Amino acid sequence: MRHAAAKALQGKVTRRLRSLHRPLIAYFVLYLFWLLKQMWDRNFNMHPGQRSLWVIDDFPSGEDYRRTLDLLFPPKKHGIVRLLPNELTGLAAGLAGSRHASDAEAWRAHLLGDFDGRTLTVRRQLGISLGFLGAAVRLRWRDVCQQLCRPVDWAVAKDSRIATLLVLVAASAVASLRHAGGWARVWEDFEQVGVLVGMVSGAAYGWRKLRGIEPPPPVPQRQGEDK
Amino acid sequence: VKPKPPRLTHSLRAVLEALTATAADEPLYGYQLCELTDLGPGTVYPILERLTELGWVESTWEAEQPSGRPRRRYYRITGLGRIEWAQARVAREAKRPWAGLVSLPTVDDNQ
Repeated sequence: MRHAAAKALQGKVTRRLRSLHRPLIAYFVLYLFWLLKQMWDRNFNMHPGQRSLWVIDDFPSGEDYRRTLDLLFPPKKHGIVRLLPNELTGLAAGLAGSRHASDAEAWRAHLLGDFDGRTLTVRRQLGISLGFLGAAVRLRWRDVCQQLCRPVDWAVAKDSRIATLLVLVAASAVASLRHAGGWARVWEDFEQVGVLVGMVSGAAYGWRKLRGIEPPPPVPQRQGEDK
Repeated sequence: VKPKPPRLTHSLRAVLEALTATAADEPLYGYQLCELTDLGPGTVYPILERLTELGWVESTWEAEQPSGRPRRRYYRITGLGRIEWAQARVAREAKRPWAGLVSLPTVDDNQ
């Protein structure tokens, strides 16, 4: 039993080490480059303002490391990993909804980088396309929230609508109390109706302020009307 | 519904600073904005959408259809955006008098 557990652990460790061999090779190659660069700089005694001929300026750099990984172990051209960023971008554009349908083209252009000859690595593209998914979810969530808020916005847009709402709330509260204990109960708990109406009124005007809804200006009365 | 001014979060300030730092005839596209602000597309695009709705930022498509690649969408800050952003920044600094004591690196510093 103990022997089997030890063997399983050994297998696990071996598998883990095997999965690490590619990054380790990439790291080692980068290290060799860095050593060569050091030797070059020392031999030719570059002055501080002079730009190094080597691409790798700092060591270790994440982007250079990823680039070396891709150089040493190029991903398959038509493999699923290669296609995934584009597919994810399409999915993100679909998720964002028809309002943002045109974003797909801009996002696909984003995936190509700045077109100055340095294409983005597949890993970087994957990260970016996952970012598009996040953006799509946020855009969709905002759209859904706006749609849900529209009826409430409409209800509080005018004072007359708020007044109607308050009357309805008060009437339903009174009806409920009367059903529970007749008019005596209504008379007894009338202050609760008042509190409820006050709360709904506060919520309506608070919502109006929160959403920045401006009530329409009052229509000026004609001079002859009040006589 | 009158759109409310946005909350001046760190990300929003970074995007607006990047947009105001560039010349009007050289608008930025999404990738450049992400590189300049060091933010991900998941943050930058919703902010750009919000600013476009407010009228602070306007977006235009690349004029000609390039061969072999999709068109870029360029973003530039509008006159209204510049004014509102300047006012919002002044109001924010007035609210936070201690902010000048510690200067955080801005987008310009990173360049």
